[in-house]
Amino acid sequence: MEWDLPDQVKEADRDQEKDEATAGEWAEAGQPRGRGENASALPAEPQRLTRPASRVISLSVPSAGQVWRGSRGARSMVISIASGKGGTGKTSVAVSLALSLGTCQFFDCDVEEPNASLFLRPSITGKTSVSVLEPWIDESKCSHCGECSGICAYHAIAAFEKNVLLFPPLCHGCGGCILVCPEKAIAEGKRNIGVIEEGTSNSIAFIQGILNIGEHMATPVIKDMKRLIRKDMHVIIDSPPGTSCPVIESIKGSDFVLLVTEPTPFGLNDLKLAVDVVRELKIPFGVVINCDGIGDDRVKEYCQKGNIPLLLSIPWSREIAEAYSRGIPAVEARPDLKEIFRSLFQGITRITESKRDYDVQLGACR
Amino acid sequence: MKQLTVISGKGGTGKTTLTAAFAHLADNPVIADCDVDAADLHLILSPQLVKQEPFYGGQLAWVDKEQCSKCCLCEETCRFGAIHGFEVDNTSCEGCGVCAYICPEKAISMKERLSGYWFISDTKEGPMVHAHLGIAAENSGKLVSVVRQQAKDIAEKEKKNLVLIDGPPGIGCPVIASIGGVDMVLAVTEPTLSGLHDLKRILEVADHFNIRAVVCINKFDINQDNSRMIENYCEEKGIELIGKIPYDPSVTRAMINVLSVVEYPCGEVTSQVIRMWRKIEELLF
Repeated sequence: MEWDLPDQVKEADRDQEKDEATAGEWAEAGQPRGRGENASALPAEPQRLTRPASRVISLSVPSAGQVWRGSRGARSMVISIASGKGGTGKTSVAVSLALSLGTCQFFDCDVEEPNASLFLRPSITGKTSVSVLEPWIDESKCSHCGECSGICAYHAIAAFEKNVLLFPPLCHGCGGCILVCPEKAIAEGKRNIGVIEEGTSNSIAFIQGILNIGEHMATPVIKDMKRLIRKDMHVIIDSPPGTSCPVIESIKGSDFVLLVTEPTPFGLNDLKLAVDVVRELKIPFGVVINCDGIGDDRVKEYCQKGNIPLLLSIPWSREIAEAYSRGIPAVEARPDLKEIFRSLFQGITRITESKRDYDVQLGACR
Repeated sequence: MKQLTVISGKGGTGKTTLTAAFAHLADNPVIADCDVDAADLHLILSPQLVKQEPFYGGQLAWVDKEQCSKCCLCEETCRFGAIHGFEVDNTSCEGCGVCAYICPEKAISMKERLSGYWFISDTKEGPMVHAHLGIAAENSGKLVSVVRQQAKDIAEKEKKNLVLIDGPPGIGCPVIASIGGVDMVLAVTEPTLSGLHDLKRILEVADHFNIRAVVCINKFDINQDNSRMIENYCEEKGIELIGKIPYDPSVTRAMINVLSVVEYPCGEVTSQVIRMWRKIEELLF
């Protein structure tokens, strides 16, 4: 079985080794740059969640020599693993990447159906409940003016002549009803919609969110989880499938999005949708094809035509599929794969660093 | 008229593959693709577009910079962190309208937000309602409700006896919108720990909303021990297991040939799916 790492990643690997001797400096071909004044133009907080939108949308894999070669490890990065289609192997890739990195923070943001804990088997050390704000009404003060139901965009509150009805699952907690109530009859309560669990699995700091059964909104849970993102280590985010709000909440603010797909018509269709989303969010991204060989070549052709970095192809293997079914990560079933995933990480580093560099140059031109 | 939704909790277990096959086997169905953020059913059913309608899923705030006095009240009041530097972040704005209400200069207005499109199409299996959620748009649950209402209207008008619904993965808002008020859900799972974990959660959701659920295991032979675990779980909960489908690479070939697994020879898969459909018909009608 051949694991197909595209040439650019293999090259990146070799360069990385070669460059170790000159670790700890910014270097760009023909234009060496120290950590002096130029370096201060670099984003001070690489992990900031609200990085200003970049003008760079698509990019090709950078040349060597534009990479931060830190002797104390590369800058920490937030990498999200996403896909339009479900069941393509997001969790599998995310877990394998995390295990290959060793030390990192792992976020299972698929709060509707979190599965990563089945593979990482963390010991859970803390639980925090997630609540959303929700109005409650003091009927004795209410004058039934109807202002509250007038402003509510979600039809979560309906005022009648004699009473007011609340529909808690529809409430987004915007606070509009409280603002408009002339009688100050509305106060804010809290409603639990899920829980965040924190724990560890070897040197991986594990965080997962779990949405309560019957709750509609996953985004508040994801938002709360992402407050726990640390800046001193790499962060892997396992995103839910699809392209709508929970996905956007999960991948927003990432330095890189890895889109996992399968080489089938469904996989291709949903990959295109996911690409539209990450382009809209202006986050650099690359593609991993999982179960390569089960379908056709149209995903590869699409990546080639669209100048999208295809970072890794994982062939379908019964061995890995069976290990997966028992909750065993691919890199544990096949330890030799750790190296492949480390190379994948190097490829990602290369792309994000070059983008950062490019942004700095753009900034200097403005 | 009956309504059946195919769901799974976990993605990629075979919902759409089965829905396409059922569409072929069913007598007189209206088909609804409710996986509006990653719709795939059209890739098998090749719909001919009859009607396209825009979907406005809520509103979006807009700041008129000429009138803005930069008081920052909007930014302070917004609970969604959607206003930065007097500009609205479209992906964060949930359209509540609080900023427009609070703005002393009346510089903020709420605009209808085009969040996607829904379609009515003809397919060889019957009329189909499907949709496309806009890029990074919200309110997929609301769009699902529109798709379902349209499908129901067609079924009533054309005297169809079944609305066949392809559901989204997960357990949140679009799933709840896809299963509300249906006669039965079919939960498709796979014999993996993830599959079982997610099956339990989706069955709890069905139970929470009092909807009858039946289960089928796809690729059951990938891990027979886990398949037995799922069977035992279903038995314990009194949920009927209506089918076990083996793994077969020809399922992907059927997809590539734009055919369902009952139109393309998929061996044991084909016969199992046909048997399962007969069972569903017995249970539904």
